[in-house]
Amino acid sequence: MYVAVKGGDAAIENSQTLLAEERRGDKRVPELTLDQIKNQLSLSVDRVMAEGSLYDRDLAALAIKQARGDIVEAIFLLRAYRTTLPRFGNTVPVDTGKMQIRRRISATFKDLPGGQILGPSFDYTHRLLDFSLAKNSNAPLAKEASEDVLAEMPRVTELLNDEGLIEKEIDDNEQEPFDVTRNSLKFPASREARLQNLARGDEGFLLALAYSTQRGWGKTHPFAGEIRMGEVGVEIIPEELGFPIEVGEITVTECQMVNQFKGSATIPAQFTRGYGLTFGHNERKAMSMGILDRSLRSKELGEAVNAPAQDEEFVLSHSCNVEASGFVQHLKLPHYVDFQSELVTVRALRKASAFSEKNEDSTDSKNVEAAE
Amino acid sequence: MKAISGERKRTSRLKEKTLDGYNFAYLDDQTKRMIRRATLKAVAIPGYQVPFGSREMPLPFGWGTGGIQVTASIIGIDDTLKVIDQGADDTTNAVNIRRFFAKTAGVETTENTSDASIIQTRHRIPEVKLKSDQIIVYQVPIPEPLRWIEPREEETRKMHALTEYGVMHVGLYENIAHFGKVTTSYDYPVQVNDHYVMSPSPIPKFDNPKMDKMPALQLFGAGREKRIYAVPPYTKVKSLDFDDHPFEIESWSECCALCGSSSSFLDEVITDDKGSRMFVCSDSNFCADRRAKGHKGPGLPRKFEIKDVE
Amino acid sequence: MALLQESIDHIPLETGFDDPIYESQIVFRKILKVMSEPGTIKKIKNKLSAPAPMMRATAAICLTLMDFQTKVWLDLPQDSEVSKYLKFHTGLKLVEHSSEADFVVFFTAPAELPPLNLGTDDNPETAATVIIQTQSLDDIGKLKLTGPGIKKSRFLNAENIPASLWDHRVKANSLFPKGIDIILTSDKKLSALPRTTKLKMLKTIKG
Repeated sequence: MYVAVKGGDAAIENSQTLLAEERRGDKRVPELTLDQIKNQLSLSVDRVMAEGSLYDRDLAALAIKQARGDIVEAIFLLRAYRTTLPRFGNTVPVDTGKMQIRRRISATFKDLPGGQILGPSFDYTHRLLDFSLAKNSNAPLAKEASEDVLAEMPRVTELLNDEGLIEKEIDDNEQEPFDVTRNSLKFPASREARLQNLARGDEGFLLALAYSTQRGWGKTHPFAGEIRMGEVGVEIIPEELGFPIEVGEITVTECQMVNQFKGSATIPAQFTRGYGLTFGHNERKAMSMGILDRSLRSKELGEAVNAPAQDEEFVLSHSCNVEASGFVQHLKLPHYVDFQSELVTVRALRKASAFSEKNEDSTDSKNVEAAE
Repeated sequence: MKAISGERKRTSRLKEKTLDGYNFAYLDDQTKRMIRRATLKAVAIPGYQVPFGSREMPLPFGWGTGGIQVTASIIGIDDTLKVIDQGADDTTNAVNIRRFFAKTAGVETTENTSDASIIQTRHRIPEVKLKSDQIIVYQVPIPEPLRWIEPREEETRKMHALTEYGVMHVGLYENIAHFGKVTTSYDYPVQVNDHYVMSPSPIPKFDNPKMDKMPALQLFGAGREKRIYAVPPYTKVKSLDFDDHPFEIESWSECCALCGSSSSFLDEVITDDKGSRMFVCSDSNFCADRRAKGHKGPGLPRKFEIKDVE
Repeated sequence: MALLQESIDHIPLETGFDDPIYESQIVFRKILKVMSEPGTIKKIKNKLSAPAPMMRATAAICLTLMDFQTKVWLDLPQDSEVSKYLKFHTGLKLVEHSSEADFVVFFTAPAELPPLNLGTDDNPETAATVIIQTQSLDDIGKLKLTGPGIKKSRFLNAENIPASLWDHRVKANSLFPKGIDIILTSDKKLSALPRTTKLKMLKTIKG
């Protein structure tokens, strides 16, 4: 009815044209190609794939371009596309033991079978702006290693397992795993539901919560048992064949956190685990996930639960940035009916209290008069 | 891997009308079946929040994804859809959702409440009494009426299971003790069929009485919170209250400046920087209808013309 | 090749929906109508052909609501024509015990109910939906229905349903919100009795 709120098709369309124009920016500057995004903003692509729950570098690059580099918006675009895809079947769990390793480090042992492999990492860069990148850089090619990387790199946790020093991971492949993308989460959640939720959870949220446990809000004293990054094969078992065939290869980052545990009357002291796994190369996310997976086991392990990062319902209900972003920003939508309701109520309350104050005033003055 | 079964052969009657490359009403049939099963259970257990595998939609969570998923699962090509936000058909969000269904389902849309077979709404129930065979779909942000008392789903689920609603009454009573009356003005909790306490969605409490024994089917979708619930037609819906503090609704001393209605929910519009204001119907279709029938209000301040900008 | 031959054998002669997305929406709305207004009778108009003893309304409901996510129990052998038909058209999971099923289908109305999933107090929606075929279905009868979805009362006649079955239903629904929701079918007709509907057997026919 009023110009201010009468949107209509035309207004929406105009807004979208304007958005497209802003996205393109100055037309004298060459347009970004998806190949450029895929290759040169590869960590953005990795994050969008991980939180978008869809391993497709091309689509992730497209989403980043369409979202003008807004990563959370790109994640949303990919998620909304993902839900329309038919499901052909489930993959066999990936075997990170057979990963083609590009990076593998352990903070628990100085040396170990397979060695420490630094790989591509920001870790020991001096964070000095490299002004040579402002021009076209000629990045030197890295030298090839003199030794081959082990084809099957043993996991640090397996080495501890030999001595019985760390809890055993239960291999329970019998039941079909819970699927957080198809079912509403129930509490208490199963471990697989929790890990799925964390794997697609917002990196910033996970990071902040993991950090909070390190600062003492729910104590975890993790050791980064191992972080590895590289390529793993993805297999499915077609019903008509009955054996696995490889359908593709994905890059993943895996983090195994090792935590102390006092043990109990029935269990001798041993280390416990926290597990993190993400699509692409993202150690910050994988490590945060490993810490949180462990801190969310507090209840199960009989530890006091008193910090946000230990509270399963709190963490899992608020980890999704597509949900969070939508709900926070929905406050932009008109609320004038509800606000009108509140106005009516607040005015009525004020009127009532003004009335009683006035009455009190007059009683007071009467009292004064009486006293006089 | 499962072989694709007999389903998904042709969609002849639908494909003519809808967007290329997308399913009829956006959702795939598998998802619709899941939502349909949840909806039937919601209808069978009035007021109970049925968990469902809510999907990401191409609109943000919090912007009506629950209502959209419910509508997408029930709508067919013979339906006529009305979408309102704040009671009005022409708010940007309502226009946008209507556009979405026009594009993906090719259905007819209407602004006329009585012509609609499905009405999707955010924050209002139309002023015109809804009829049998109509379906009203509410967009719900927080489906859990106990959330403000107990944020934990693990706990509230138990409270519903035991119909342990004492805390809710205590909460309302504290309100009375403090302010002399219940100050909840929207999303005012109701009890359905003398059993489940339910959130009516953030409609003003003015609309609560319309829910009671409504001849139309009422469906509620909360996308982000992944819940669907329902009130079948002719079902008792009672706003929580106390014998000494009965439930009451908002009232205005003014009437609608445009159509003169004194029985509808009014929006307040500020007309200048001196705080002058006027009141107009929040239900744009109801107001237009009355004006078409010759009803007139006191009118707008002179400088405040109605512009129908397209 | 043997594999291929076997899968051809599994293709039933009877047809499902001609236009699945379009038709299942229409059937769903009829189910929604009868479930939300218990005792109302709706008729399906689809051209599908179902193997005996499955009635057309039963087939339409099954094709509309079932898929690989639903566990179904039938009062027929697992290798019956009906089982093959439903498996082919919906991909449903047939289960051995009625208590595991989301949907239980009785092609012949039983005198008593087998063990069924009644749901739990905190998740009553997990309870079974029970589909029962009857000889005829009319809105004039000795069954008086009251409850949500019903303005005052409705009347129903469901032929060939043993009176003992209604007693079993009362027992199953005695601990609301737990309970079972029944869909009745007869040829092309369908009606429903969700767990909230109260039944009273009258001495005379009304409607």
